[in-house]
Amino acid sequence: MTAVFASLFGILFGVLAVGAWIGVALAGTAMALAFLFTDIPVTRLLPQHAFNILTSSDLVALPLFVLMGEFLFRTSLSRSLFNGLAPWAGLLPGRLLHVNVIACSIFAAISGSSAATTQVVGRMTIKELLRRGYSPDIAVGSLAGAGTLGFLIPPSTVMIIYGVLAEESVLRLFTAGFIPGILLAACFSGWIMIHTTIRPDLVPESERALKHASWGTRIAALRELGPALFLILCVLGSMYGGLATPTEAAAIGVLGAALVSHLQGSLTWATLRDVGLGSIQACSMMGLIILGASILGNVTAALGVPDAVAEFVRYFDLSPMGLIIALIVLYLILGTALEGFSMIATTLPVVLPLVTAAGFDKVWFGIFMVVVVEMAQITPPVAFNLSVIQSVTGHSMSYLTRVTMPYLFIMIAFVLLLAAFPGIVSFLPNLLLGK
Amino acid sequence: MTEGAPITTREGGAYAAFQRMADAVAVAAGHAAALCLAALVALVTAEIVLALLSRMFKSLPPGIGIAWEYSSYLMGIAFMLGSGLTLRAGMHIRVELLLRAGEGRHARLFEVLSAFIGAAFTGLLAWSLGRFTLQSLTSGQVSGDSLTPLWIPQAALTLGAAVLFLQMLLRLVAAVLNAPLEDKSLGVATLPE
Repeated sequence: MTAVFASLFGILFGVLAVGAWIGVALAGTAMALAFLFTDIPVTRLLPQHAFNILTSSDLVALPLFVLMGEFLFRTSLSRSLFNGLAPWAGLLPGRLLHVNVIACSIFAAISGSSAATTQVVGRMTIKELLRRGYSPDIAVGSLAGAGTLGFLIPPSTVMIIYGVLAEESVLRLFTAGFIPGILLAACFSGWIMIHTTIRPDLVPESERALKHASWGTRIAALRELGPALFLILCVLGSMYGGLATPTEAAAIGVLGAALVSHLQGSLTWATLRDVGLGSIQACSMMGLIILGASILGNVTAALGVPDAVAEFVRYFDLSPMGLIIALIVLYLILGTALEGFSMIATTLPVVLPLVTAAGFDKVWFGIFMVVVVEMAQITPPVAFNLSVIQSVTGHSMSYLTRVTMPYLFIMIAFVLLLAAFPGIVSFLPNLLLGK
Repeated sequence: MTEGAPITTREGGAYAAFQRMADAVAVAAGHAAALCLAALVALVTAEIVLALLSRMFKSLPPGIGIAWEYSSYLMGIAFMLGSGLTLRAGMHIRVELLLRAGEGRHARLFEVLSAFIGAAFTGLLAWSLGRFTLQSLTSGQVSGDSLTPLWIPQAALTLGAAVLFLQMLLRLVAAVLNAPLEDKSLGVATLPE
């Protein structure tokens, strides 16, 4: 077994280190292990497995949600979200900073991606907040934190991939993410209120006037939220109402997004081509990683790697909570170098058996993984959400990391809360879908 | 269709000529993949509409029997056919920490190594998928649900893997020749994920 482990880590890290593509590295390592330590004929395993996993029907929702995101990216949804939410956010201490959190939550309930959420919301809010004189520290930090909600609030591409790799129902995961997502958003908003109360200088004095906007303006502004609410109804409404599977909901979402795009006048042939090719590039990237991860998962399982790791961890006699803390540390370290999908893909085959043995269920662990993946999106040097913000504001990575830090700590505390009270995750799926 | 692609007509000799050809193939395959995605949307939509109509008109069937099976084939084909273009556009994800370390002193060596590994793996993938397809064809394998000959979707996956292999091979040559490895102008995905 020592030889297997040495080869597994040696080959995988070696290949990743020279800059091979994640999917290629995972699949290549699997091929090498199968060749060295088993009698599995690799040239038969590879095509059969590639065909099975790439045409797995659970995965069909993934390209559809990606497509929907590419459509929405090319609409003016961010502007209408800002206009619709601003008069309401003005009521809270912290004022328009809450637009970051609420708009990210709403966009997250439409889109499956966290980088897309950050970008779509950020390109409108950041300029506006800075123009109005909010401190960049909190304007940028709250966006980076809230943007990560894109993965936790369903739909979520990460949950689809987790569902396929862990053989867990995507609908259950989508249902389980809702309450934690709203709670985490509330934690972010709560922190903004506390932070701006302690340091009133972060919000310009003139913004107090927003409190006195007329209720007529507020009610009228709600109309701006129409397209977003329509899309949420298409996707989440159809799924939670038991009318549609995640795949069907995704298709309805694509049509809804195309309709919104058409009504806003941004649907042209050139847009359609960009939407199509853009989706294909995002999907191919994910497809290669999924292929590699699932082959490596199969080969390591055949070699008994998960059992050996479980044996090794049992030696430390960790409590379930201790295990979760150890995993948070592991993923925080991995998250500095890997982005979310790759992190799930490389670790799941080994970690999942450990966690289920400790008494956590797969849906709970899926939500845990989503939150740690979100942390990975904001821990440099490889931090997608921060890169996205960098491309909008031009701030340095170290500055972005510093102002995002409080939100990272909130997320760590939040994961521990989920571990202490797993009911936060399981309540809604048990209610809507039965035990 | 490749606006922005560098127009280097008679430059760069044989490698450049091959690369232009391979890029044209990758772009064409990318468009085919996008059409698969469009067909996938149409198929799932038709399934939903039919399911709704059949509740109103009892004589209609409750769904297209093949919808789920064929939509998963279309997805797999789209994933693979788009992969070559995705590589050339620099959209496949990798860990770039060490590539950039030390002002990229070893970058070229790493690029050659990673392209070699990529070419070896995708070559194996394309070749083994090809053999797998031939076996399905000769043994007359059909799917359990709709009795569709399996070699048809498998052949499309093989084609996609071959397009990717071709790009990897040329990338290896480009890395050795110190030519540009990627054509960012081909990338249209707004975000990596």
